[in-house]
Amino acid sequence: MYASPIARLVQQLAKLPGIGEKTAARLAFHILRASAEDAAVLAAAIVEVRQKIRFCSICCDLTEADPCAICRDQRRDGSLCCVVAQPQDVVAIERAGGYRGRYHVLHGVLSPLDGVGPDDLRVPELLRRCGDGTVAEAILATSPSVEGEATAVYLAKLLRPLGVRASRIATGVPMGGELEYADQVTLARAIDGRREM
Amino acid sequence: MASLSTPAIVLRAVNYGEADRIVTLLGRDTGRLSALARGARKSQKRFAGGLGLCAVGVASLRERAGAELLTLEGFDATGGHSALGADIGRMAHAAYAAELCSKLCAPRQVEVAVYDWLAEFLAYLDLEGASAERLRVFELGLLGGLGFGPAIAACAVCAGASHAGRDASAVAFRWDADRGGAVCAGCARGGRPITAAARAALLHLAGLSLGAAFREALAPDVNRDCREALAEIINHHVGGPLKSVEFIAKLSAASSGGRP
Ligand SMILES: [Zn+2]
Ligand SMILES: [Zn+2]
Repeated sequence: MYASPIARLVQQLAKLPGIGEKTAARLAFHILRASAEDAAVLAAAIVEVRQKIRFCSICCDLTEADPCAICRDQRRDGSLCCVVAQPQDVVAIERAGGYRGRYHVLHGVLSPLDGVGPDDLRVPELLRRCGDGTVAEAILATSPSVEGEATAVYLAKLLRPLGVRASRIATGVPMGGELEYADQVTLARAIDGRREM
Repeated sequence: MASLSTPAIVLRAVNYGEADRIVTLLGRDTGRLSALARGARKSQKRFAGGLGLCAVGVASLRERAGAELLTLEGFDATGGHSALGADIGRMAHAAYAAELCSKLCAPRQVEVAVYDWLAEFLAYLDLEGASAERLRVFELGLLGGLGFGPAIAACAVCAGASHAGRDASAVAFRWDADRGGAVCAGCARGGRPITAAARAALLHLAGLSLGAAFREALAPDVNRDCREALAEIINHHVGGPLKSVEFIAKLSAASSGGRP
């Protein structure tokens, strides 16, 4: 077995998602071979991210300053709230451009097989936010999986009594895709989700 | 390095590494197995329609020498269970059925009848929504199909020999999961009481088809007794709490959800 400091590092790295025992050992030896300075910078970055990053008290996204930049931005439309599962989804939608409303990050979706229920998500924060009259429409932008779909349906049911219009992002045939190559499930969804022209 | 192809239902898919997923499948021709789907989170082509909860399709698999984990080379979703996400009750029942199969089915043991039972249950769930009575029928059929079916009509121990000649309806029964279900008073050593109504309901449900189960309406207390009796049998074979049951409990705590 490894000397105990190495074993400790391997053990910690192996806790990361997608990292097995073997990969953890490879990473640990890479860190050992790196300069002492590089190792110190990595360690400091890990400590810093835990100390400085917190949840935005409005949208629950990860942020250094509270409220986050998007919640502070007066040019953004506060009556539109795009509800997403993960902070990465905010990044993806922002990168796409075009959306000028605000966000709410749930930090997951309802998931029976992971034991994730409504109280494990930032649902109470969303309802509190939507109860004060500023949000007119919530765009439910969870993934089109069974779990993402059920989460959206669940939220829509809770939002409607608050006078908030709930809408769902469209799913269907991807841009540049050929209709004849689309799979049955996607195609059926695209037909279901058609809109008037 | 053998290739195989089978109709399959996705019981569970968890992310692995950057872009892969590890998928637990119930294959009609292979039984339950786990496979690595390389690039599944990026490639929509090989896994058309996705590897979502209870997706039904045709799986192309490759066995790797000496490795327990197969490689999933492709999955063609055929059954569009598009309504499983239409409400939380449907999703919860689908997840529960999938979790039961992944815990109760032995790996690589071909169980065609069990596969067909699950496929039929999911199709009804998609079409008609969640129903507690149908879930009971599903549990009974699954347990029976795997040889875990509880004794209901006659004593699990003596099969009626110890009270031969007496009116069966006058015999008191206890419910004992460790000994296989209903146990007559003469044989009982532990367990707990079970009402005649619950035992009669279980017996009735055991004879129903999944389609007919939807039209049943058990009294709430009888349904609860049946649910608990079957849960004891299931716990006995699974040997640990089920995540989906935990989820359902959380839902009913948060509001009135689709309790099975
Ligand atoms: Zn914010
Ligand atoms: Zn007996």
